[in-house]
Order: sequence, then C-alpha cells, then structure tokens
Amino acid sequence: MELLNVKGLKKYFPIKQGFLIERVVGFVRAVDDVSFSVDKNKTVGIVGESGCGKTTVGKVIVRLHEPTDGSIIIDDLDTTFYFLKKKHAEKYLDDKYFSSPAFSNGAEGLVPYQKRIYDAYVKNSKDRKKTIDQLFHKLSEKRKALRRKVQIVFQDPMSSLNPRMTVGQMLSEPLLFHEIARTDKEANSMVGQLLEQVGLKSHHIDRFPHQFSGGQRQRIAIARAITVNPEILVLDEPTSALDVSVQAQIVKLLQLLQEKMNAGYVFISHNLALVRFISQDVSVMYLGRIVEQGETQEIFDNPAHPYTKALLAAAPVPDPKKKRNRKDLVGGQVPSPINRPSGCFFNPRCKYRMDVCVKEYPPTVEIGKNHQVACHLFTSSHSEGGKEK
Amino acid sequence: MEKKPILSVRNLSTHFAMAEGTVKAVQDVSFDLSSDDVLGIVGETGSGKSVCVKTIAGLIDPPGYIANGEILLYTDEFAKDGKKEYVDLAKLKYESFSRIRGKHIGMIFQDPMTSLNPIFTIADQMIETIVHHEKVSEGEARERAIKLLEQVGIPKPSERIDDYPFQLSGGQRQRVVIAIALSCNPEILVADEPSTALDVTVQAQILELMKELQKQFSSSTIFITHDLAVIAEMATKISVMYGGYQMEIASVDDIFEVPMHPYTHALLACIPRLDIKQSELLPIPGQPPVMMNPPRLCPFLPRCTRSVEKCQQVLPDLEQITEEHFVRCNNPVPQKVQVVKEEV
Repeated sequence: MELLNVKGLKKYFPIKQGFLIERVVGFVRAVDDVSFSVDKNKTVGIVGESGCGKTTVGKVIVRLHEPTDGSIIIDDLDTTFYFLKKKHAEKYLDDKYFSSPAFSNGAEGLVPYQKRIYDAYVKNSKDRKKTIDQLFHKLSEKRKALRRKVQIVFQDPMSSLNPRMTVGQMLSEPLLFHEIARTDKEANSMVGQLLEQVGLKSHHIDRFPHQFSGGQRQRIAIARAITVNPEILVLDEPTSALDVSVQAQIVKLLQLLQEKMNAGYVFISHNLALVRFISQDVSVMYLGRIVEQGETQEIFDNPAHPYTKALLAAAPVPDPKKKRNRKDLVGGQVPSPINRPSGCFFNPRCKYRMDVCVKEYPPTVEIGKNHQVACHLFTSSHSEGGKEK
Repeated sequence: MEKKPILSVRNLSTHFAMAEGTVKAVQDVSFDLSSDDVLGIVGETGSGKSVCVKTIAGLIDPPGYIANGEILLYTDEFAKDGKKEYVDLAKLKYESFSRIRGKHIGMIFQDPMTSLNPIFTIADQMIETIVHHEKVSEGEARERAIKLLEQVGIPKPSERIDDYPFQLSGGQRQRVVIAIALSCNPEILVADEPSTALDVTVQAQILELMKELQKQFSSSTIFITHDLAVIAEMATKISVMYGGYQMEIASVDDIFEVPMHPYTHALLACIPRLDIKQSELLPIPGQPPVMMNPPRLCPFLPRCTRSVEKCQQVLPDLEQITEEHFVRCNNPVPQKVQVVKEEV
C-alpha cells in the first residue's frame, strides 16, 4: 500500500540582496523535480553527497520547509497546501498581486505554489475573505492530523533534543497534544513503555539529554518520533554521528520498530553501504535531481548512471583484497546549485560526455523493471553513442 | 642486517588530570614504524587514537601529560657528529620539539578549515613552514610551495597560492594541508582522519593522492580513522584501539581475515558492507567505556561475549601470536570463525 507519494517536488531558496530594498537575485535550487513513493513497511533510501538536496527533501516531506512546487500525497490526500500561511493567503484576495512586480520576480520564491492555491480556492469564489477563513479553519485540523502521520529523526541527537527538558517532558508533550494520553499520569506510563521499546529503561524518564551517551540520545529522538505512531518516518542520517558499533544497534532498532508499526521509512544517508543494507528502493540524487532510481539490489548490482557508478567506485570496501574500480572514479567536485552546468548537471565530471549532454537535461527513462535513469546514454536516439572518451 | 624502525613507541601512556579524576586516554601503547610502513590506527570515538598521535607529535598540553613510556625517533637532528641516533621525544622540551614537528613529523588533521589559518594566504602558511625549518630564502620557499601544490593536484598553483583558505573547496583545502605537511620532506606523516570531513567522491581522490605521494616521498605514515573500509585500503599494518588500549595489532590481511580479538571480530560483523548482501548486522551490545578512572581490566569486558572468569581479575597482556600478530585477550577467537554473515 502506498503511504507517501512525492510528485515533481521542487524547493527553491531565494537569494536576496540589498539593504532595505531586498531583491531576489537568484535561487538555490535545492530540490528540483523529485518524485518517489514509499509503501507500507518499506524503506526508500535517498543517497547523495553533501549539497545534493537529500536533507531538503526530508524536511519538505515533514513540512519544515514549504515546497516551491509539486505535490506531496500522504494516504491519498494531497497535503501540499496544508501549511499555507494566512498572511500569504490574504495577499490572494487581490487579483493585482499576481500581476505585481513583487510576484513576477519571484520575491516570495513560491510562485507556482501560490498560483495553484489561488486557482484552486480563491479565483472563482464570491466572498474571497470568507473562503480563505474557511480554508484556514479546515487546515489547522488537517495539519494536526498530518503531524501524527509523518515524523522525523535528525542526524545529531545533541542538537535535536532540548537540553533543558527531561526525557519525560519531551516524550509526553506530543502524547498530550495529540490527546493520545489524557492525563499526565497516563502519559508518564506511556513514556515508560516507549523508552522500553527503544531499548532504554523506564527510570530514565527524569533524566536530561546530557546524561546519556550518543547512541542513547538517538534512541530518545527515535522514541519521540514514534510517540504518535506515525505512518511515515523520515530518517535524516540517523546514524552518521554515531560509532559503528552503536550504528548497528540503532539500525537494528529501526528495523524492529518498522515491523511493529508497519511504517514506511525515508532513509536519507550518504553512506551507501548502510543504504544498501536497510532499504528496498534507492534514489540517487545529484544537485537536486534524482539521477537513478530503482530496487536496491538492481541499483547496486547494475548501476547505470555514470554518477552512481562513480559513487560506488569511490566508496571504500572493508576488505584489503578488493581494489577499487578506478575506471569509474571521477575528478572534480559537485558544482554549486546556484549556477548549475547547462544540460546534464553531471556533464563536467562525466567520462561519457556527448554533445547532447551539454545541451539538454536527459529525460528519465525506464531501463529495466523498476529501474529508471536520467542519462543520455540510455535515451533511445543516443543509445548507440556513449563510447568512453 | 635488520631494518631499524624510524619510530619506536614503547609503553606510551597519556593521561589527563581533571578535577574529577584522571582520564586515562592512552594506556600502554607500543609499536614500531619502519620506512614505507603505513600503520593504521582504528578505533571508535574515545578510543585514544587521536591522543596517541598527538602525543607523538608533541601536541599534548596540560592538563594532559605523558604518564609513562618512550617515543624513540631515529634522527640526526640533535646529533653533533651528524650520525643518526634514537631521540626520546617524550623527554624533549617544548622549544626543541619545534625542530622535530613539521620537519620530521608532518601532520594532517581532520578538518581542513580549522587546520588552516583563515586570515593568511596559502602562500604565507606554506612559506612559513619551509623557512622555519630550512635555510632558504622566501623566494625559494615560494617556488617550492608552488611545486608542492602542483604535486598535490591543485590546478594553476602559481595563481591559487595567493588565495585564502575560504576561496578553496573542501577537497582542495585538504590538498593544501597535505602539501604543508609534506613541505619539509618529513620521515613520518601523521594523518588524523584526513578524509572524514569530505564527500565520498572527493575522499576517493584524496586517498588516491595520499597513496601516490606515499610512494613519491617514501615517508612512513600513521593513518588514523574510525572507518574500517578506509583503513583496509590504506594501511599495511593495523592497530585496533579500544578504551585507550591496543587490542590487536596485525597486518592488514590478518585483521580482516583472521581477527582474533572479540572486539575486532564484533566490529567487522557490525559494519554494513557495500560489496556483499548481508542478512543482518550484528550490533555490539552496550555503550563505549567511560575513560574516567577505569578499572585495570580489559575495557571491552562489559560488552564482550567471550569473557571468561580470568577477565574479571587481570588485564591481559599484548601477546604475540605470530610474528606480526599481537592480541590483548584472555580468550581470543579461534581463527576459523567466519566474520561476516553473507546472504546466500
């Protein structure tokens, strides 16, 4: 069963310049047209190097950022507009706003998104103010429901846990807010159970985060995320601040919890070996776009995109007998997401570069069962080319 | 004639005197480093691997102190007749140490942004090192710096040398740090997690570069990392540290094929692998040890699945099994146990 479906997701961050009068001079295209879906009980891995937009995807799914465009469908409900701000929406009362220079130069950085809301809700209504008020009344309920469905675990548990709150306070807050527990006493006993579930002791309830080790802190962060029994859990590098021996503990815990909750995981990581181990599907991102996507086994055994190949060749293997595949290694570094190369973003580093690669971004093509790649080597008209230069 | 090691560390212990008690960060560490050796020190956070090499490079400040042991460097720096002799760096005064550091021991640290000074240009920082150690003019030093930058793969070195560190990318900064470390042709290169802060494609570039330079400069390297995969690629000899102690020392092949210490074994079983499909990861239960006033027992004891009664009483010695294989354990794993569970 499909729990989460992300379609054409975009997130642009406007770069503003100027004192007093701010102008938008460009955009950081952190996420640009990303689509994937997560099924019940399945884990989707998102891999890429720093700056590829993988964390932004996670943050947009839990709505710590608003999407610029695209849709996020959770449980067959389009949740894209749920977090619209009222002060933004009130601007739509006036048709002139959409022809104003502030809008057309993208001052809000949200152009397509705003336009869609306007078209869907505001444009044809007679009493616009009332429409917007009604919309917001509905949205606040929907938002609350959405928070119970999607939760996130961050990379560094020291900065994601409030140092002034005890474990009990942190974990009972969502229980009380969502009315899962009605009294403090009830909440406390549930927190005790939660702590046992993540491998801590129920008497840890009155301790502060600094009294725990790194691995234990991450267990608390996981406990906080599962208090509301979410259907989707976004895991943003949950083990990269931990030692390998503790990392294995956390991974095992996450797998156990998934069996219990039947949740879908979005596992974001730069660690290819870990993604191979934990996820059933993988998306490889480069500069805000997915370059290759498919079943884990297929991607790791038959990587198609030159970037995926380069990533796999670059990752060292804990076996002194196995030498790295130097043929697929690439030089250079990831270009800036503000000034992306023309055509395929990977072309300046790619060994198989053809003329067409500089001109246009390759379309995504299906090259096997559940295996998509965005590379000109696989588009029909150029499949003859691609000899190594 | 047997080859003399360049560096010989004997029973080195580094402690930190804190108000709450003594932190025994490094305990009883011994190893020999011959020329062309790459010694990998691998361990988790708090295992003492960084403190160990910082002690060797003379970078331990109070409240840290060398509690015990010798660091013997084979050098002619202090000899009057120009003959090479062993100098104990543990007893060296701070002022004399600056003749060793940079010239005989070059260091590469983890984060290139913090190891380069942001307010000086690359040229300033490179020339300073060269002029300090060798009798050359600034002009000659600059020539040499440009040549070094070319060797570490910086494009257009004569232009880039006047850049500030922030103008370079992470990978390029680490290349500059490597160039500075190599600028006086040191016999020993100490690399403390040189690739950890970098992305995987850039990490591969830096590791390839270091291997190449290792051949070119023929300096021996001490390579520290927490990443077993990186160490498998770089090192010829590996020392596994845990809780300040060396648990196992062996050649790289022995560590990965016939590990004998339960900790090494557990460590190899709990890392996810890129090359094979695993059925499960086997986590090590429990938490890493607390280093404040530890009991004189095996630090891995609380997490060990093979502990025997003897473990509760004495700390095992580092025992020699074969010529190059040392293990500190009362009940080592027999060599025939399979390490990684592979899915069939």
